[in-house]
Amino acid sequence: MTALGKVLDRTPSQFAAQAITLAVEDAGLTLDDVDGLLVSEGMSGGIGLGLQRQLGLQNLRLLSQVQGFGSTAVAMVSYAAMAVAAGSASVIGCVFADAPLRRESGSQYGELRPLSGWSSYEQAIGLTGANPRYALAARRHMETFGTTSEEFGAVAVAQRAWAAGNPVARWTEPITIDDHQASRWIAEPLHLLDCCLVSNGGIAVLVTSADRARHLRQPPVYVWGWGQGHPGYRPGPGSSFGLTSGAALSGPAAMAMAGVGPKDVDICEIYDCYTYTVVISLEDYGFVAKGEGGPFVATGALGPGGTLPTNTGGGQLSSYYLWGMTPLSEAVIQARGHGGARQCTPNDVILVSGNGGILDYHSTVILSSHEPSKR
Amino acid sequence: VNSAQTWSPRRFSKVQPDDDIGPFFEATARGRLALPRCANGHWLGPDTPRCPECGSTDLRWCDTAGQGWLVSWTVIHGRPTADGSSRPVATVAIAELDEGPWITGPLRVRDGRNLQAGTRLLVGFDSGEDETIPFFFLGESTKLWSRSE
Repeated sequence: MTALGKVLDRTPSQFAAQAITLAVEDAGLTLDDVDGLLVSEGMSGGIGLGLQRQLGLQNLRLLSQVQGFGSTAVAMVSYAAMAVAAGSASVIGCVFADAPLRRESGSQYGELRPLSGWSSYEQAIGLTGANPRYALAARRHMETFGTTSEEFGAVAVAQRAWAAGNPVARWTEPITIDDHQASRWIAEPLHLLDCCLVSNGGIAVLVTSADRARHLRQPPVYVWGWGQGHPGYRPGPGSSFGLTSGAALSGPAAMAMAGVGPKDVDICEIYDCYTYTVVISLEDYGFVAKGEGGPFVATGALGPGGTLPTNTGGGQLSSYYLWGMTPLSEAVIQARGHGGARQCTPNDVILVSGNGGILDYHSTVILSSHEPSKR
Repeated sequence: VNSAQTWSPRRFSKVQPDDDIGPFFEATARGRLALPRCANGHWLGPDTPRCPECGSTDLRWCDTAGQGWLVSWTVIHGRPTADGSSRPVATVAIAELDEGPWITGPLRVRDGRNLQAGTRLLVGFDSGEDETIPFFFLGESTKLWSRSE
């Protein structure tokens, strides 16, 4: 994990190279041990297969760029785990880096882009970037199930409380539902405090065999199961756009592989590009019935001391936004027991989600501090 | 189609039709909302090359009746002013046309807060500076939508 946030003096490839180097040192390995590399570029692009050359890595046995937008990081872990199990490579670096914040002109998110075809029409009428599209999704959830803006606010409040225990979080001042309601509109029904922040930085994780991981410098984090789910919403009658996410597919698959159910999950690290995304994901994972996510989060269940600790580092809303590496990195910290003031116990079963596009792409992994057989 | 409604929704960038959706804007130019229809009569979304119902790729652009129901909407705000507040710059809706497909478009509405899903929408057209684009305005009736789709 590099310096994160408003770090304006580095390019995505510099962040990526630094992240891999830090991960290797953290594990007690050297770059020579890395024989596989999965690369995920962000909004600003700038990294790809050339990262091998930039790192001076020779004779890799596995190299690919992976793109599933917000679902990428979690999916990369599953691809790497499969490759290690198959013997395709032994130590695989999975890296994401992005630098959308720029000194001269703010964030690259929400900028107008040269488009053609239908997307040029949608941009022309104001559907620029993710904010208004997630607003359309969130509104549909509200209209259908009666979910309220105050309930979305409860997610933001809980995560800000977690962020207070995270030394690298961007926003740590406590907030209230009133603060959420008073924050300016971005795209109704989404307030500013419903939306993730934008960060520069790079994060890498290493995936290797359990046998090898046990002899490295850090406590191993075990991958118990994984799954993906890509709804392919058809824009017409009966569409579940805004009502059901890919978590309804990826969650049960990952939990079945891990041999657990929602009741067994100790900690959730949910992709939280918006507060609404947390609500719909928790429903689709089965932590609460469909349509009851709003009232559930309003009970305070997600925050410190709650019944379902969720986004325990503050998440993308309060800490840092590095796509799926945000929930994944916090899950690793919690599984290792390195959460300090925010460490949750037990940490036997940690669910991590990645969500990309406008709820279009979804991935889940189940991580643990223990091997499945040693629960 | 009620072509008596005139309104010029704000445009944030240029519409650049390509071969896939060229016929959509040829139709809007003559005041019609057209969509692809397959050989078996299924209506498709505007950038759908294959019928998801029957697999047909034998598609023809046909005029819809230009009426539908409100599925969802958003009031989009601009960058904050000096006092930290923000002002609406556009309202955009998803409409479910009577023929089935969903279409996004600017929504002509005085107050984007007192709407509800299921409200009747009618289609108007704005010729603007480049392509003619559709917009929605409110009709009279409201449909009771099932909460368990």
